[in-house]
Amino acid sequence: MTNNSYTIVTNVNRRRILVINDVTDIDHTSELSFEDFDAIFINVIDTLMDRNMLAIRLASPLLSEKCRFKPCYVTRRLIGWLGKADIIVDGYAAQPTDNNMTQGIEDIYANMRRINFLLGTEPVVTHAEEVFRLCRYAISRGQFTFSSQPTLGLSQGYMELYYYTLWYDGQETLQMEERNFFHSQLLRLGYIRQTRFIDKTHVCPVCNQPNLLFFESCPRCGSSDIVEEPVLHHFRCANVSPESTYQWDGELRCPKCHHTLRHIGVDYDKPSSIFTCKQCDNTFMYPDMRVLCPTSRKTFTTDDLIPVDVVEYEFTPEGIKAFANYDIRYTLSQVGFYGYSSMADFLDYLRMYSQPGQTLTDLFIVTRFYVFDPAMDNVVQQEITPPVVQAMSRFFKYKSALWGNYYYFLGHAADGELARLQNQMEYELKAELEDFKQMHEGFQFELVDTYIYHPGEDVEKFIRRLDENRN
Amino acid sequence: MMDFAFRIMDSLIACLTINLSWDLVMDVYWFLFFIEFPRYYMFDIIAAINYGVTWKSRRNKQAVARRMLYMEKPLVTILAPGKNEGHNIYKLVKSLREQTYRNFEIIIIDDGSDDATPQICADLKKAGFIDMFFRMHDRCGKAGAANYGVLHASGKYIVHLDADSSLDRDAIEKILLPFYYDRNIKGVGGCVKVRNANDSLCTAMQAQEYLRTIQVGRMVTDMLGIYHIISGAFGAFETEAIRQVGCWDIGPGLDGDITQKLRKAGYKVKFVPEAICMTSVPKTWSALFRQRKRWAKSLIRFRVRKHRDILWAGRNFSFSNMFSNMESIVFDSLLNYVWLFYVINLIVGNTSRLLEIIIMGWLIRLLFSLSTFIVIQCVSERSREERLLGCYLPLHTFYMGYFLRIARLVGHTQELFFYSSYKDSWNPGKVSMVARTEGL
Repeated sequence: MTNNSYTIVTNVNRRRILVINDVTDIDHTSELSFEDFDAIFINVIDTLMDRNMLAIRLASPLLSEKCRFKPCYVTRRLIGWLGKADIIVDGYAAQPTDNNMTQGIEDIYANMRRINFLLGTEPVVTHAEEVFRLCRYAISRGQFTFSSQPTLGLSQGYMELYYYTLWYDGQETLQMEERNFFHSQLLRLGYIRQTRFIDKTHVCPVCNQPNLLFFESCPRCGSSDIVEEPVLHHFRCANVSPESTYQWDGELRCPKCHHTLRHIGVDYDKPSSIFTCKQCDNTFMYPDMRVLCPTSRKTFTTDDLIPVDVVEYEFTPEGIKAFANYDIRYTLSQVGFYGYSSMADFLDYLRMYSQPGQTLTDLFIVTRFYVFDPAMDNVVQQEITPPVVQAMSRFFKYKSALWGNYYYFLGHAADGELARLQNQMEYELKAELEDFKQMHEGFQFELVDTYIYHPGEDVEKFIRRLDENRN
Repeated sequence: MMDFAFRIMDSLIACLTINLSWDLVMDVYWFLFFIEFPRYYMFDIIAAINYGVTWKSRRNKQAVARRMLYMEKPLVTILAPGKNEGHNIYKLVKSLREQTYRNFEIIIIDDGSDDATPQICADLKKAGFIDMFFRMHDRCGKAGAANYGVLHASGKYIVHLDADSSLDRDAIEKILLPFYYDRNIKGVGGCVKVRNANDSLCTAMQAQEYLRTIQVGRMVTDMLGIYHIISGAFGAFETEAIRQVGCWDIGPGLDGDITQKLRKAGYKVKFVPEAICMTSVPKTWSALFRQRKRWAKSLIRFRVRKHRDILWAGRNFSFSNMFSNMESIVFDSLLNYVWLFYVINLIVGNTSRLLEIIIMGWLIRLLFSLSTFIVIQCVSERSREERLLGCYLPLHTFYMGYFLRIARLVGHTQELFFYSSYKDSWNPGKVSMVARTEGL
């Protein structure tokens, strides 16, 4: 099978390799089906690196349904240029029939056979299913531990498993509490076990991001415009003051007795140091440590940060079996995930976190939209993700559910920030839906209402309010 | 045994009756009657009478000064340098938080502690109990640490405290009042009392001694205008004045030294018996002996050597300064040597009657001590609590008359002939070495 943008070649082991020569949306190429090829070789070399990356993204074994879990190789000429995407390719080759690529493909399939990996397309609609897909991908590649190397761009800086979800800087599918919830669920089911404690990290109390900026600051005015200088002790007269007070015409002269200081350890020593704030002239010994979270743009003290234990996990044989056979979807609760989920999970999430004793003390904001998409009926029949859900999936910090013609979004807000976050949420969602409307003829939407849930409120009554006038 | 006791009794009775004569008193107890009694016991009584007589005028003066203090309400810097004093700091801070005068900042300087002091102080700072905390990673000595505190002081007045001290609720207020009596008063000493009097016999004796030598004794020197030691445990200074005289110099005895420096600069110093500070004193006799030797050495080092210029006419000469130094040198040092010869002479010349003389001397001293104790009871603000210390009066002779005298004698002799204060571990070795080389 040939095309200008792709070809299919067969290697010595009779594996059919899809060679992609130009950016190709494989999932939307009707001539190609899942069964047509066994591996992918991306041979796109464009002067625009974004096009190369797009080609990889569209043929990714994680993101493309037709390429799902299949070995994916990239031309050697892109070595060193892929950045974060490097982790989702299985290797580099000069030609699709290279020995190393041939061997690599066989190794991956051998591993899949060994663990009875069920290869095929499965619908990935909810956010939880996306996370299962990650685990399945890791297992298909023989990666049975959640690698705990510090990793750039990830929450907590660890857990390479989740690196597969990264595509752009700062975009990460799983939130920290979501991830902890996921781990606890897997632990409870016996799918994973702890292998070792790695570290205790600290994250932003607002957005749970670990990428924080630390700076020393003046305890009085909070400015970080501070300078440190040594303190000199003149033995002869017991004068102790900062070094600048001793500076006199290029030499050190005691401000108290005017003797020249010649020899450290004999005439003087430096027993301490002192900070001076250039903004308010305050002098102090221990500057305050302040922490700025670039994501939430808030400043904290180190005491405000939330400590998080980072531990390494590995899949147990039961876990490997469950993920390989993909028979977990009905046993693992999907309630704890953000992103898109079923309405039942959406409501269970509300019930779970409204229970007394939950650590979550934030308010819930639920925004409800009426949506009408003429193409929706076809989508339901085909069991694929509705386009509007795909469009809204970038709001990974909101839990969402489509229930008939009503689209619900749930977000958290601290008490003092309710108004701001509510406005922000409504604005963001409306703008995105408006964009979707421009591109899809006949699509209509309308903001029905925004509901606020306060901790301690009767959650069933709140759920009934969400359901009002639904039909 | 009984015969011996009766014989002693007979001798004592004879001594007090048929043998009692002017010549005997002159010959045997001249030191007691003509040196100790006038200087200490008689002046104690005079001071007590003066204290009682001037009570009303003092109260009025204090009321005016208090009004001026609260009208101005100056910021006061409380300075507490110390090494390994972490366990005492909280006690100190707690007593400071109870003060009636509240406009103060607390600066703690840790002079190279090797225990948990930095952590304790950092915690107190974090909790807002202290305003500034500075740590010397290498020990500087008390003077250096205190000077560093002065550098950061923003208060109009500095109150210097030992880290193991604690204060009466109105102590800060009372120690500040003399600054408003007279604008030339730049240093004020508080009254230091013993907190751990019940710990041992040694501490109980010191408690009694502090009452006599500090509360009453300094009232006397203050009354005579020769007050010469603002206690390091509790003293207040005007910040500008203390900076002008160059703050503290190398110790030991830096409290006496700074007082002399203020006096030499032409400023007045004052003692306030009502401003009470409690401190912990050594619990064992050996520790006490070492402490007193160190104090004795500082007398030679500072009063005899460093401030000898005060004894003759020079810049800023004043008779009161000269007398203050002379009084200290003569009564605390010179007369100790005289006492030594007196005792030797007594032993050699009266070998057969020695026991009788000692017992008689003890009886006379007991009577004198009783008079002083009555004086203490009259002037002390907590006379009821201190009344029990009277039980120790029979031991007073042995403690003040012999133990402390011997400690002082040893200290003075070591310093006079061997400069042993420079070997004292109280100061860091590097500092002592420079001080010894430069004769400071």
